[in-house]
Amino acid sequence: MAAGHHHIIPIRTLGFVFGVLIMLTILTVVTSRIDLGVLNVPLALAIAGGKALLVALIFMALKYDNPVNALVLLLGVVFAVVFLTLTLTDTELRGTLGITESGTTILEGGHTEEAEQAVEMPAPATGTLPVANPEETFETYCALCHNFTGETAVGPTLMGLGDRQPSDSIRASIMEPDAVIISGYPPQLMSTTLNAMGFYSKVDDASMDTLIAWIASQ
Amino acid sequence: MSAASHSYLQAGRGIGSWLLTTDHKRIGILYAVAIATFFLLGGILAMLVRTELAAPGETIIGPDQYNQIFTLHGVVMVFLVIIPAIPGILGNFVLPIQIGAKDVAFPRLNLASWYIFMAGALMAVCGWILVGRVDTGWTFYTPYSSGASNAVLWLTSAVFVAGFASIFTGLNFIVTVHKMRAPGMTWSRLPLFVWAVYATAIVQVLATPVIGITMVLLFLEKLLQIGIFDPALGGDPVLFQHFFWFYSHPAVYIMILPAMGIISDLMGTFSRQQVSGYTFIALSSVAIAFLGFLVWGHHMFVAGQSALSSIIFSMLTFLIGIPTGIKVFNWVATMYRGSVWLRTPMLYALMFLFLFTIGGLTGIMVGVLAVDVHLHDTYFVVAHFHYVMMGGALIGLIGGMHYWWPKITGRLYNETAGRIAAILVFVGFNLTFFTQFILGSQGMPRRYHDYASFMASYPEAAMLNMASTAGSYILAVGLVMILVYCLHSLLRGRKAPPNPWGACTLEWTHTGPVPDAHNFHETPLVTRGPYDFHIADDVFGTADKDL
Amino acid sequence: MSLSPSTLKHYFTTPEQQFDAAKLGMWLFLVTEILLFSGMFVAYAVYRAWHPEVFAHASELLDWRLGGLNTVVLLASSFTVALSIHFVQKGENDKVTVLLILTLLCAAIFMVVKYFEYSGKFDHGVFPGAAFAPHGEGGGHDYAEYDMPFAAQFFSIYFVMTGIHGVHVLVGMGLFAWLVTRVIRGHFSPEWYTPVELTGLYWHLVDIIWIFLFPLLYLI
Repeated sequence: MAAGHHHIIPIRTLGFVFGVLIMLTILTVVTSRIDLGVLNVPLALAIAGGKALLVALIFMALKYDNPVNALVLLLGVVFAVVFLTLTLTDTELRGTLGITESGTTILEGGHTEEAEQAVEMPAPATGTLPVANPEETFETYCALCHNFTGETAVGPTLMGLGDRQPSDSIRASIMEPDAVIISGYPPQLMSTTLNAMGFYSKVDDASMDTLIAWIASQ
Repeated sequence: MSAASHSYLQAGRGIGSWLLTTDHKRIGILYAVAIATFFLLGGILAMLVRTELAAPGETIIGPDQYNQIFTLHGVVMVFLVIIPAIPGILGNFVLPIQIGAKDVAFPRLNLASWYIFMAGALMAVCGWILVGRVDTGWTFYTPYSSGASNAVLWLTSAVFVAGFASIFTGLNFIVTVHKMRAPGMTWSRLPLFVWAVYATAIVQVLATPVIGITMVLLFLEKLLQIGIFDPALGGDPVLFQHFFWFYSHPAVYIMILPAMGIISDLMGTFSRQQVSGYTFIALSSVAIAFLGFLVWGHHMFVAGQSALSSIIFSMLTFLIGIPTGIKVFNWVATMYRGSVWLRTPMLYALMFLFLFTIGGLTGIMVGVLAVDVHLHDTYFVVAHFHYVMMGGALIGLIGGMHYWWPKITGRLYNETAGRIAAILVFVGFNLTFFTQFILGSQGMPRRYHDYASFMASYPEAAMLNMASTAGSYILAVGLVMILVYCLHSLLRGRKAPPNPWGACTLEWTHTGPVPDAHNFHETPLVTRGPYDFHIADDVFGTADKDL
Repeated sequence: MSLSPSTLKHYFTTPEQQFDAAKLGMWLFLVTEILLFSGMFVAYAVYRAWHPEVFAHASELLDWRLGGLNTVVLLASSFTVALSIHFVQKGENDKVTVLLILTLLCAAIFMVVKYFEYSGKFDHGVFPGAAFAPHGEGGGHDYAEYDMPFAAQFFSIYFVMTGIHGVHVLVGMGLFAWLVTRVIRGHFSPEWYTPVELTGLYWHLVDIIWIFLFPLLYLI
C-alpha cells in the first residue's frame, strides 16, 4: 500500500546522476587549477551548487516528492543567504559611507575600533615633516620595523598594503596603532615608538596624505 | 459524556506517569511547573536588582554581584522563561486539541524536548551557582565574554543545549499543523493561536541553529582562541553581534508571536464575535516571522557596523510596524460593537493591547538611527523591551493561563481575586517601567550598579528610581497573589463546566471539563470557523455568565 | 493493510500520513543543519573577503588530492544509500544490507583520510587557534612560510567546519550500523522503511555540505 504511492527511482537514473556528480567533481578540480581571475570563485560555487541541486532533486527525491519538502529546503537556503548577504553588507562596506568634512573625520576602516577611535583622533599639530619627500619620513620613522619586501620584521610587511586597505584604514593604523593589533604583534610598541620619536607632534595633514599615498603605491 | 473517568489527569498515577508521559497535555504541565519555578527565580533576581537601585550608592549588593545578578536574570528570563513558555506550556496543551489531533506528530521527541530543556536550564542555573558567576550580561558580547572567566563556557553550553529543545518543539508543531489536522480543519479554519504558534515554530527552526553555532564558536574562541570574534586575536567583535542577533532578534518574535495568538483568541471569545480581519491577523503572523529575520542589525547602530547596513536595517525595522499595526487595529475592531465581557483573561488581553502598543511604538523610536545614538544602552531600551517582553509576552501568557486554566485543571479560580491581581500587575508594571522611559531619555545608562554620578545632571533620578522600585514591589505582590489563588483553585476550586467562556474552538466544544487522555472520543469533523459564534451559540449555548 | 498495528501509531490515521509526517520532520531538521553550517560559511566568507590573498595562500597547504578523494568517496556513499532505498522499496533486503555496509565503509574511508590530513597538519604545528605555529617542511611546503597574520583564522575555520562535518559523518556511521542490524532482523519492508529513508536524507545532506566545503577550503 505505502509502496504504491512512493516513486521508485530507476537504477539507471541514479547511476547517471552519480556519473555526472563525479564528472562535475573533476571539472571543478580542473578549473580551479586554471587561473580565471575573478571567475574562479563563482565558477567553483556554481559547480558545487549544481552538484548539490542534483543530490537534492534525485538522490533525496525532491523531484518526485511533496513540494512542501522542497519549500522547506528552499526556506533554509534563502535564510542562510540572507544571513550571509546582510552580514557582508556590513563587513564589506565599513568605510564606504564615512562622512568626511573639514575638521571632522569619521573613519570606518576594516574594524570597529578604528571607527570608534578615529573620532577622537588628536588634532594634527603644525608639521615639520617633509611634505614633498615621504620616502625620507618612511626611512626615519617606519623602516625600523616595516618593509615592502614581503618579510615579516618587527612589524608586518607593508607589501601590497595599498591593494588590501583603503587609505582611511592605513591612516587609522598609523594614528591609532593600538586600535587593532594583528595576532602575534606586541601592543603599544608602535604608538610608544612613534611618540618617543615625536612623530605625532610633527605630522600634519599634507605630509600624512603624501606618506599614505606613497606607502600605498609601493 | 463520561469524560471524567477518562480524564488525562487520571490516566496514570505516580510521578513516573508524569516524567515518562508522551501525552502532549501532561508535557505542557511539565513545562508549566518548570517555567513557573524559573520565573520565580528570575523574579527574585529582578527584585534584587531593583532593590539595589532604589537609592543611589550601594544599597544591598556590591557592583560585582550586581553584574552577576542581572546577567542571570537575563539568561533565566530570556532562555528559560519567555522563549519556551507559551509554545512549551500552552502550545503543547492547546494546539493539538485546537486542530483536532490526538497528539503532536512526534510525542516522544516532545518529551525529549522537555528533558533537553531541563538539562540546559539546570546547566545554566547550577553552573552559575557552582562553577562561576558570569557577569557578561545575557548577550555574551565579545571581547568581554571571551576574556571573562571560564564559567562562561557553562552558560554558552547551556544555551546551546536549551536551543535544541526549542528547535525540536518548533519542528514538532510545524509537522503537527501540516499533517495532523482533523477532517474539515482547513488552513482558514485554524484558530489564530495555532497560526501564531505555527509562525513561531518557523522562526524557532530557522533561527535557533544559528545561536547554536554562535555558542560553539564562542566556546572554541575561549578554549582554543580561534580568533573569529576576539579582536586581540585578529577577530571581529561586531561579527559576534551579527551572529548573536541573527538568532536573538528573531527570538524576540519567538517570544511575542504566540502571545499575539493568545490575544487574538481572547479578543474573539470575550467580545463574542468573529475576530476582525482573520486572514490579515493570520498572515501578519507569518509576515512578522519572516521580516523578523531581516532587522537584526538595528542592535548594532552604534557598534561600528557600516553606515549602509545601518540604514538598510533601520528601514527594514520600520516595516515590522506594518503587520504589527494590522494586528492591533484588528483587535480593537474586534471589540467594536462586540459584547465585551471583562473577565480576568480579557483584562489581561486589554492590558496586553495597552502595554504592547507602548512597547512596539518605542521600538520604532529606537529603530530611528539618530534617536538610537542617544538612547542606545540607556534605560529607555530597558523599558522598551520590558514593555514588549513582559508587558507583551508574559502578560499574554498570564492571560492565556487564566483562559485555559479551567480546561487544564478542571477547576475555576476566584474571579474577584483574579481581577484585583490584574489591577495590581497593571499598576505595578507601569510604575516600574514607565519611569525607566523617562530615566533613559534623560541618559541614565543601563547595567550600572549606581547612578550617583548621573544624578549630578538629573537630580530627579533618585525619585524616579525609587518609584520604579516601588512599582516592582506592587508587581511582585500581584504575581504572588496569582500564584496563591491558582494553588487555592487546584485544591479547593469549584469544578469547571466544559465550556465556561462559551468559546468556539474545539478544545472547548468537543472535550469534557478536562480532555481525555487521547483528547477526543472520536476524531471531530470540523464544519465551521474558530470564531463563528453566530452558529455556535445555537449549538452550544452561551456562556454561563453567573460563574 | 499489511502494516502491523504496532508500526502505525495510534495518533495517526493512515501509514501514508505517518510516513509524510516523519519525512517533513526530517526535512525541517535538515534545514536546521543548513543554518547551523551557514554560521560557519558566513565566518568563512567574511574573513575570506577581508584577507583574500591570505586565504588563497593558506589553502595551498590543504592537499586537493585528499580532499578530492574524500569527495568521490562521499558521493559514492550517497549513491549506495540511494540504491539501498531503491531496493528496500522493492523488498530485496539482501542487497540493502550489502549497500548499507558499503556506505558504512565509504564513511570509514572518509574518516581515515581525514585522520591522516589532520595528523599531517598537527605534526607541523598547524592547529586551530592560538596553538597555530607552523614549522618544518613536508609535501613540498615550507610550513614556516604560512605563519602570516590571519592564516590562523583560515585554519581555525577549516578545523571547525571539517570537524563539525566529521562529527556528522560519525553520527551517520552509527546510524548505518544500527540500520544494518535492523535490516538483518527483517524490520523493513516495502510498506515500512521510514528509518532507511530518513537516514538516507541525513546522509545526502552531509554529502551536500562537503560538496561546498571541498572547493571553498581546498581549491579556491
